[in-house]
Amino acid sequence: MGEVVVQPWLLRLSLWIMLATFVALAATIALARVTRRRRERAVARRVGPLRADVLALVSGEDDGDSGTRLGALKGASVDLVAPVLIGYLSKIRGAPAERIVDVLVAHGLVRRARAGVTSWSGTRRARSVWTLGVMHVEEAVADVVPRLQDRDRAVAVTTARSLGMLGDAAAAEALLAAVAPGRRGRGELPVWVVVEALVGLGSPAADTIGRALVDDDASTRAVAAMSIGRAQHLSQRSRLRDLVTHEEDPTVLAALAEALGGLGDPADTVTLTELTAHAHPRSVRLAAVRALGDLADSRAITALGVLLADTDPRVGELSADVLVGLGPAGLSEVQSHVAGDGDAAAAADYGLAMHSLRQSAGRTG
Amino acid sequence: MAQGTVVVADDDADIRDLVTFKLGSAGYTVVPAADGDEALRLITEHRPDLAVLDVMMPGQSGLDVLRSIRADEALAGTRVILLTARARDVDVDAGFSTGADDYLTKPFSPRELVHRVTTLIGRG
Repeated sequence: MGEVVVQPWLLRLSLWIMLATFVALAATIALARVTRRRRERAVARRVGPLRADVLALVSGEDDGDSGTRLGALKGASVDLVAPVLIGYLSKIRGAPAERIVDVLVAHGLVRRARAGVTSWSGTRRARSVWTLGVMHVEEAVADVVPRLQDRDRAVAVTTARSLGMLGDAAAAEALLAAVAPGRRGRGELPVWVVVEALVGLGSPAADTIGRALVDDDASTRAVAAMSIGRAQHLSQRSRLRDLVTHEEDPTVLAALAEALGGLGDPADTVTLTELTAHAHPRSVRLAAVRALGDLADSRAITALGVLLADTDPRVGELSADVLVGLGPAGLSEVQSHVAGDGDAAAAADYGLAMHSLRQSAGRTG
Repeated sequence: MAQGTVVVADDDADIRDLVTFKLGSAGYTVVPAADGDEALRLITEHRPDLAVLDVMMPGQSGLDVLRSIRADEALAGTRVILLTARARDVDVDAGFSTGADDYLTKPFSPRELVHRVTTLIGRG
């Protein structure tokens, strides 16, 4: 193959083009930052005179006048203050939050948000579903739910969080369906977002979530199991126990272990100990170790003590770490293995070192 | 008359302004800080009766600041409330075991915060 010769003028031209591109990019970034800061300063200047009223309202110090003045704002002032008030709604609760909602309702925010749910703009759709959620507009659940299948993943994620705030159990099925393969082509929803939203629906959603434990889709079963554990749906414990006897998917098994641990019945010690067996993948074994720690009864401590000698060092170390976090009984179990040698002693050393580190950092738990 | 001095540290200006306003209205002298480093500096300088600390802040976290307070004999008596969005049991455990006197999760009630501040400062 012949040697490729690059003409000097071509090389110089390429370098100039690269340099010009770099300069243009840097100028664009700098300009964008300056513009954003100017805009923020302009907004702050215009909101400034209203700041005292906003603070009085959100702090609960309003004697009625601040809310009245904010409720009487017109035009662009509303567009400036409304985002500030909506921002506060996710940070405070109690009577001030209710007063904020009153002011926002007076400015037609609910109507605008419900109209914005189907906007062509993804940003506006996301903002609208968030507003409806944070304002707890319960009658808007039916408007919000379809956005779980939005083509824009960010809108779907915001919708899930909004539904968690709205807390209507009627949204449970749609949330679980958003985990299923149909949604995934348009960007999967993070599991923790869906779990958090399902937890937000409270006990009225327990049965719907429990029924999802037999869904054909493994991800849906895992999300259901996690939600049951986090929300402490004790009514669904028997469904968890049924599934754990024949479930084969390791992700679901790990979620089931976490859930059984979360529900905290010592009767599940045997089941969880079985999930620590070598026949299971490491992820399942580690989840079961953590779950035994959640049960924290004497049989769980005995089972974790046996696992200190596990041939998988990570299982032994985690068992030791969990045990030292269980107080005197767990600590004593670990200390009883220090004098020996082999895997159990090494794991015990690790657990005691972690315990010591936490104590020196002021964390004993 | 001022009922005591409180350092309020939160990188969220909205929360910082709100807590400053609310505690100021309740008669406290409030010293606001935008991050953990500034909080520790102001606590050392003002020796407040109480500090309200966010946990997740730029620089030193609220827990880092709390550890420094508890490790310093001159500051160790400062009452500390952690005000944070971290609501898991493990986070609450970490807060109390690090030495927090109280733990409040966001979203929070401003009125409840004042009650807790008043109670803690009243205990002396």
